[in-house]
Amino acid sequence: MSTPSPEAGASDGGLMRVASDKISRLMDLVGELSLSVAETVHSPDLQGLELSRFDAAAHRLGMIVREVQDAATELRLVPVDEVFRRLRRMIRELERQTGKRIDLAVEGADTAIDKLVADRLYDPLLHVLRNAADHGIEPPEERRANGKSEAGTILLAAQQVGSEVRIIVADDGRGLSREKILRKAREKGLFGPTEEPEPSALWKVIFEPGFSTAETVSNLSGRGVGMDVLNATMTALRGRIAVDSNAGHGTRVSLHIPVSLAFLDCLILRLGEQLFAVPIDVVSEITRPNRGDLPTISAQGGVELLRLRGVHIPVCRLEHYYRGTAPGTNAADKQVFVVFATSQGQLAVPVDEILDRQQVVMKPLAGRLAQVRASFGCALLGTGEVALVLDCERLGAGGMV
Amino acid sequence: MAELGADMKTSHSDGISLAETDNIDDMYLTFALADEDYGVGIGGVVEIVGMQRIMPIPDMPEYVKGVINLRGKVIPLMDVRLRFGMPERAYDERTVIIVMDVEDAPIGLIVDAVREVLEIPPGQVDRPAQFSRGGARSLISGIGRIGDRVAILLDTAALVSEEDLRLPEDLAGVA
Repeated sequence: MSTPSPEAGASDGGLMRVASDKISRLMDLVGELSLSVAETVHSPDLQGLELSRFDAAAHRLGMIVREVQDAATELRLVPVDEVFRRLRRMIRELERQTGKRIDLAVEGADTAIDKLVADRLYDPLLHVLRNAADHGIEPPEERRANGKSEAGTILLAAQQVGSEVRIIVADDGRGLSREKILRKAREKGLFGPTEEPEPSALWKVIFEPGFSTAETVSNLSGRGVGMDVLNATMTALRGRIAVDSNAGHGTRVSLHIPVSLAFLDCLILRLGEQLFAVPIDVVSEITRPNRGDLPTISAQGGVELLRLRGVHIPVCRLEHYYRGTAPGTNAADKQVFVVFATSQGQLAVPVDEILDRQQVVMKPLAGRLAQVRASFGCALLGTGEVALVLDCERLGAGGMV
Repeated sequence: MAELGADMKTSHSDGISLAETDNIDDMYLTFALADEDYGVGIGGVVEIVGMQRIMPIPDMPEYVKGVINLRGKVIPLMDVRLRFGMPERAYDERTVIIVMDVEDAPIGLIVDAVREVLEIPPGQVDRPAQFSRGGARSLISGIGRIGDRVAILLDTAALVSEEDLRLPEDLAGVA
């Protein structure tokens, strides 16, 4: 203790290289540890016993496990610059290929992100970047004619907001063409012939599988495949994509990704026999409405609404959305409505009860389970039970996805 | 994970000495469904566990009963009786779950009871071609003869893939 160890004195600040599978193993064990602790503490054998000292010790144990979990999660965090650096090298290559001049601005390169996420971000980000360079940024002559600087700028930025990391790729190019995309989207039946979708809803369609073809949406050519990769990766990472575009001023694609994939802070909901988990940060409100606050619209196939302080929120009943889910066991007026904030607005989901708030261990839906819609995976609860983690974004998008 | 699987297997192999047999490909775990005997290749079997609390999962065909949490692994369960269109039967103390790894994904088969592990060399396996109905993939890889009894050997990949079911469902226009 009195003499500093040689490692601590080293110029690299005592950094240590550790094989990532060792860390993964540790994460798995920490997950199992937290499950076993919860299982022990909630053991049915303890039911009804007066255990004040045990409870105090169990509480302390729970806190320590939580801290171990956080520390283990941190082990796997790396600066997003690992990905950004590789992308920065690609810019020179893109300049050479396109004959355009591109300045890359980088912000927030020290933002921390799960190594597993970082490893998967490069390919989709490269696609976004390539598209910005290929189709967003105009050739120097065109830029000069439009009164812009000859060199286009692409901003690559990362920022942590709550438990989410936002990665932004913004160019100052010509922007997306509303007219062309809307025409194409109508052809594909994504919007009605007279429907005028909100810009944010319209831009999203470029992520639809195989949406764009070079002939019809010239400034989007090549996005077809690349955007599919992006979409698949974002689903796997429990992330979401937002696009914003301003004709003549550029396009901004932002990826919202959870900081860590290992644990998820969730609310546990029960509907009949079935347990669901929802990430806590999408829950905006929990309410038990009066009967009069649940109007239905017959013209929309009997869709239900929840009236909350004068605002009408569409209701999504899980037993209608999912095949093979029994309706709740509670009488309709005893049900609790959980209101989610999604990028398409709010969504109310009625359940029988809210059981708990827990840090859950996520398991991906593999094999047979891959066909479950609107779910990030299975959550293992402290009780040994399994809950389905809802992806409220896709739930909000309804049955079309 | 591979190590873990191997450990589990040995812990459940009471009376089955895998080391003594020459060819694991000829080893089958046999189990009962009503009064028929079925067999699956032992290579894909991870372990055999008793019936436990099943958590329902939506969006699954009727014969996928839900999932169990087996020491931190989520395993979907297929009721093989329902998969074959046989009448459902209440689970009892002999009902077991055969946990298998099929094409790198776990699956648990709910069967009436396990019988034994048998070596059935290829010479004792009949492979009638007429099992593949109208081009659909057959669930049966062969019929194993064991003395005067037979065990119907299953193609677990086909069992899980539901390729044999997809066609009629499409024709029925199921949304």
